Amino acid sequence: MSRTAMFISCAVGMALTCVFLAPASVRAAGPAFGTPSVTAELGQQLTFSSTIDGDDIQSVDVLIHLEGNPTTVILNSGVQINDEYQAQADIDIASSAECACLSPGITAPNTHFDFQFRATNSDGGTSLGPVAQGVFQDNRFQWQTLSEDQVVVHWYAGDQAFGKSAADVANGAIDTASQLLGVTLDKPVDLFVYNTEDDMRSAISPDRENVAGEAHPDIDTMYVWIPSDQGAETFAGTLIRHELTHLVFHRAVDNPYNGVPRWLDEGTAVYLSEGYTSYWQGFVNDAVANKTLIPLDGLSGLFPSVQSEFYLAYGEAVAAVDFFIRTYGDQTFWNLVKSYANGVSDDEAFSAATGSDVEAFNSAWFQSLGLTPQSPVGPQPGATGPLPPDWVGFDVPPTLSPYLPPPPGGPATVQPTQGTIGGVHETARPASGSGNPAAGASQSDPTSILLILGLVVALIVGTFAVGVALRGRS
Amino acid sequence: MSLQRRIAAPRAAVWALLTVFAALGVIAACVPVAGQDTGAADARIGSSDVYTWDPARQSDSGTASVLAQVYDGLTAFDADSNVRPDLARTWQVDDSGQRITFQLRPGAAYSDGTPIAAQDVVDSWLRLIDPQNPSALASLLADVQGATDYQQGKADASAVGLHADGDRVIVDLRRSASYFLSVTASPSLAVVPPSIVSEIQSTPPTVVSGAYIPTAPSDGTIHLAANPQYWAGTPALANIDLVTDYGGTSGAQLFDQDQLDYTSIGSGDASWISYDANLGPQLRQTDSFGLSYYGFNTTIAPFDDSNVRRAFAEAVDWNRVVTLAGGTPATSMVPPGVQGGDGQDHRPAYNVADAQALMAAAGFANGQNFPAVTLATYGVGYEQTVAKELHDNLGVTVDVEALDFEDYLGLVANSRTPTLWALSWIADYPHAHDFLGLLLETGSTSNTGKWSNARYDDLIAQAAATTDVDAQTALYSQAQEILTQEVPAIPVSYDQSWALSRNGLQGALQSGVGLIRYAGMQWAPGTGSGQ
Repeated sequence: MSRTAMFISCAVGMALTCVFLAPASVRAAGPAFGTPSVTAELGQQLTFSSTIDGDDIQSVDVLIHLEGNPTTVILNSGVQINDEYQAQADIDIASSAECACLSPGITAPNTHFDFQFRATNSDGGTSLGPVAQGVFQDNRFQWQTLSEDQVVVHWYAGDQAFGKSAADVANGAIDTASQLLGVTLDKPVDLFVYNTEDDMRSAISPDRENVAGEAHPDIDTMYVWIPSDQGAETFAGTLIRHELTHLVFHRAVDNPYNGVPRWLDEGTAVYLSEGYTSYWQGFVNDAVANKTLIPLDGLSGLFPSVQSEFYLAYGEAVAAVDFFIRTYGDQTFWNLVKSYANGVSDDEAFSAATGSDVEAFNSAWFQSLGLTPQSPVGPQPGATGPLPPDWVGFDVPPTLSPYLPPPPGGPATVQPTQGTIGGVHETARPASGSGNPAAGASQSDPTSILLILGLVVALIVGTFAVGVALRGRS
Repeated sequence: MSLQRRIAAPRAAVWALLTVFAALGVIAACVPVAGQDTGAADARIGSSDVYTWDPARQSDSGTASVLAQVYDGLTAFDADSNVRPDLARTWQVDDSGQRITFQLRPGAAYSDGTPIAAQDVVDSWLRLIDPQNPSALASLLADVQGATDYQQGKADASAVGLHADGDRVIVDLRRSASYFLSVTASPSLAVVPPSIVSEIQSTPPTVVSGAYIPTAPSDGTIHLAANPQYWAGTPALANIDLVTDYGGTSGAQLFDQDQLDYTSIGSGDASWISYDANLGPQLRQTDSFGLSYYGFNTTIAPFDDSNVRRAFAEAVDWNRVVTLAGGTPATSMVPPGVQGGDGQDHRPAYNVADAQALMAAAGFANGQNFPAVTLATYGVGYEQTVAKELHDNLGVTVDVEALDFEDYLGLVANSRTPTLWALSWIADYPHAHDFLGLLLETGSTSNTGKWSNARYDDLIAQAAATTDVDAQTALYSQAQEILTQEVPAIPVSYDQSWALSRNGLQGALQSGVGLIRYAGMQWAPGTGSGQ
């Protein structure tokens, strides 16, 4: 059995920290809860289990809290065998807590959480079981651990010196970012070093390519892959600095109201980890030459998923940060970043720092490159498609009104909407209905419609003529 | 009216950096999409999951958008949300405005060639108000004579004002509901072939009244095959694949890689796409008739006290909260562009001092003695911010509970009303009654908070009965003033939807009610999927 396949958790106290409203209140004499447990291991479904003994249990939930996040993630217990209840899910606990939704995916290793079972009776009353702790773990490897200053390094390939080199790079990055952003981390960052890209990708982002590392600020953890035969600095020094800058940056700007523009976040990370190097300048210079530089408001949300624009976005981000610092000074820049912790808008932050809003800053940056910001090319209206013939050329009124189809060959008619609603009467059916046209017929072929209309009119006229003739005979 | 599932925000707190020292491969290139079979489909469209194939059981917009392709009703919406004749060719309204007679299209048939009968329409509608298993949207038929009594087991089906007479469907209303034609376009009121009623509880229908026949392989793709018996003719796109599993990547990426021809996207992607020379012209934006709001269970303390509800509304700077998060603040329960809305601001003004005074009047000065309350959500947004503002300004504790969307639907459907909940609601028909009537009128099945106000109900009834648009709007305005005072719900934000639609794909136009009519799509000459 895997050494941590089951985390038998410890009950902590009476677990009556959550009080729910009367009459759905916690009952004094509720069901009896056993000690809850969780399977939280990479490669397996999150599975919460507990025995609950009671006569009136209508539903059972598991309440999950990501450490440090107030949102309660609720999992419905869909499995019951005798008095054993289970809840299973493939969810990312941290993302679920962030979005206040159940985010599908896998939970990242080193995600710490607590949980408890909740039973609801037929009256809607709820009872809570004991609280237990769990941590999602990657048990595929024999991890070594080195705790040093602000970092705890976890690695499974390489010697102690390898772990030490990773810790040194990480501590240096945290020191630099913390000093500039004026924040200190209240707990060490966990740095998980994988030996291969596949090992890392299967742990945190199996659907992404070419990812060398990820920082997860919501759980103060970073993941990186570094071949054990290479030192951390030579192979991934820039990456570690970049991602750890994000962790410190996140701590500096964290607020529940809004995020920081993506370009400012990424630009800061690139600026501190490697600077506005010739590598990034190349992307920007090409875009300037081709007049394809993306205005900053286009880089405030997600970065482009188109390859060329993705790299350009990083280049632009660090270029804009570099321009800001050259123009206003580095202290003004760090003050700008830190102001986001107060839940200010982008314009408020920039106006306080520079006297002008983001658009003005963007224009000044473009002007410094000899460009004028381009206008967006989207969104644009979509093209209309084919419509049924009796949908075209007239409108059905928005209120309760009779609707008569257009007469053959004549303009469409719609009854007045008010004051002229007549009694129930049969309306002459149109000479040609659009109902159930032949398979494959064009839905909007006016020639066909006119042809059919003509034939029907001719038929009616012909019938009438024959009738008159017969009547004349009689 | 449907609950609206939100596109989950991208993981904002996670950053990734591509290896700048590794091969510069295509980002997430060729991410395999579950069930990918790009060769067979004329179009591949991103879609949400289908929670049920039964229109009488569906209550979320994602399911409705798929079922709208499979089942047709008497009327339908065009891309501008106008009502159009569908299975009904014509209709008549009597002098009182309380009887509508729909005439079915001659020759209308199901996909197996069986004629669509007027009685099938009646039976399909009755399933919504089945007393043994009522729809979450049963209130759509609340204006039909006897419908509520039948649903509540007080009368039998013959007492319901729904009758078949030859090829006519006769609907008797308990009041002249001026919006009722729009109601009949709701996907919930679609016509279900009687031969497949039992099978659609768990599997896709094999016979349909709509444009497409679905099959749903278990690999994240729903296949739609054109119905050759469709009343408007065989749809131009014979085969459509609905991709419900993006394999962990984004719709924008799949679209860029030609693996999707239409996909909804989040606003985070729309910002860069709007400047992309290739994708920008294919970017679409729709002001949907969607509203996110917070509702109260008004039947139990502390939210049975309007002082408390109003205090919650006044203690949060909703404009700032929503704007900072990139949303569009709501000013009333009726989104812009919806008939009957007056465009006025009907929210209680942001006033912390007044909110605190209201709490004191309710016996909860500085939050003392106020019970911990739970805000149930499935990710509508703003929850943690709102909880913080309420704590900071009123001294109250609000625990946010995040549920799976399906579990959330079950919670509401089973009347396990949370004390405070967040909800995103998109209109099934573009009329103020869809919001003010269904969500808040006494006895409505969608009135989750069970709020009741006789004067409000009277105004809603008067508004329903008039066909004078201006008079109707004025009545709804008066009703909304009651909401400002009573605050059974707090309107929070309006929705915008973004999508990428392939150049050349005509008719892929989402209406304000969130529907696209796939039967009205075709490729422009020289274009097509993958071209």
